[in-house]
Amino acid sequence: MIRVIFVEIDGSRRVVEARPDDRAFDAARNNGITGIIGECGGELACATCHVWVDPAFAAKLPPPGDVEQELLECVFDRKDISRLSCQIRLSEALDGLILHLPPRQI
Amino acid sequence: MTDAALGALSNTVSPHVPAELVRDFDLFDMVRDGEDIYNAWHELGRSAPPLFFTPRYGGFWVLNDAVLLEQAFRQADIYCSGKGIGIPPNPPEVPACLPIEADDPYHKELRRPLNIALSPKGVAGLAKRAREICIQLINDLKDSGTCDFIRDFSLKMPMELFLRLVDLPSSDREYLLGLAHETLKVADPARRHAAIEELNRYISGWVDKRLAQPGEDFLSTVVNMEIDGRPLTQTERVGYMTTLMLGGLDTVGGMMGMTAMHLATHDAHRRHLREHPEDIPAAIEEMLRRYPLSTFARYVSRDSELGGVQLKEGDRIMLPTIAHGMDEQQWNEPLAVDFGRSTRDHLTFGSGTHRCPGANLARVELRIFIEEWLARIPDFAIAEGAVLSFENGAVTGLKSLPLTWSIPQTENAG
Repeated sequence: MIRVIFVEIDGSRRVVEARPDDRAFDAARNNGITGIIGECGGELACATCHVWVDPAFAAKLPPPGDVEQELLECVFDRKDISRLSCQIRLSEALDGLILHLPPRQI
Repeated sequence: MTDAALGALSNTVSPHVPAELVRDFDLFDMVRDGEDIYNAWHELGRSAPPLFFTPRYGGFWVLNDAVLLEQAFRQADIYCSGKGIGIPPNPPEVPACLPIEADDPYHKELRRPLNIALSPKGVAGLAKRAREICIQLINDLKDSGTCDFIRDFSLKMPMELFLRLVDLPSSDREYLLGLAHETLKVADPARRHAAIEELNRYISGWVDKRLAQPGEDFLSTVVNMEIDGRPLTQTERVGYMTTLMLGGLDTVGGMMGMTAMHLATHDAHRRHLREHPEDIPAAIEEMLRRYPLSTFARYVSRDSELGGVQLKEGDRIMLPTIAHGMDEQQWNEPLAVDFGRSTRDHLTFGSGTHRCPGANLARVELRIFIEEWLARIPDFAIAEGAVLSFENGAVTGLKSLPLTWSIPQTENAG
């Protein structure tokens, strides 16, 4: 199992477990992380599964593709470390991944 | 239906359809005036198989089970949209309703600009205008103490927002609402197609104008977009805009109508939302779960098995979202409204790649409506003697909703 740590805006942390090949989005949805909406169900269409990747992990992720870049322009509270969690594919190398939840999705 | 009448329709039942799965189900004749269409779907859920076949409109499978509906929506490569989603199917000369009547990857490319326009930031830009329109419409009617909510409010607000999004004149609102009604609610194919053609001519004229003189609006974006390195065809542009108008119109309007009907008849829910506005988002989700509206079709692209039934390539299948909301296996007491219910995974916006791109905007419109309406007309009821009637067809809704309320006392009244 791979651990993913979601950090709320108030600093509170939830550690959840995911399977290899799950997306960070699936880990959030399967564990009731309400700060991620994912309106489109992970189809790279809605820009409501926005997370800030902890800088310690930023270099371990492949860069966002064109469509993800386009949608990241449409989120609130965009940062350099912003990603859409439906595009983060989990693997053993990402065990302990820390994702910060922005204050709002919509 | 008599055996003889069913026999007359039987030429639309393919040999691979088991006889015990054939039901005479007519989407355009589910309820008469005064009957509740949600009760009809609830009853169908209890009495008909999870997947059955109706010979009507050329023959359709009908999904009647929440789990199978979710599965079919998600398997968009098998249950595909590119050959049409209309019931009955539109004739080939009608431009495809884009982006929904397209399959991936073409569909995903088509949707890109729409996803951006209706993204969190895009919707936030529209919300300010939505609130202005909403307050204006309520102020126009609140001192009369009565209105037909459907005619006077619930269709006007989303149409005004669409017109704003594409920068078309507000003065065309009533004309377009009339055409939209003919297009979506009339079973007679001749009338439907005449309305679709007129709507397409109207849109086509604006497409030409924005090609010649592009603006900052969403119509200009679509008219000038490229896909795989080529511009869209005129048919694609018209089909896209027509769908955008119809897709966001009486779906949102219909949901506002159901919400107003519910609040008018449930004093405790009305009071709860006045006293706890923080519960409005949860209430909206439960309204969406309890009152889905749309039934569109898919085309079976290859032989496949669904819920133990063998479907053949070329079959058509209806995906009624109401059947999901009324499924007793999915929801405890589905007819009951409970704002505290966990409504995650309702299917009112569909699921998978074709999931409603306007969901965020619809929620914002519903929230603004509830907030502004309750602030100005805190108590209201259905007019005495009014008979509520539901539309049959692809998108249901109330035909009219006569409401009454006490005229608010103004400062200069005394």
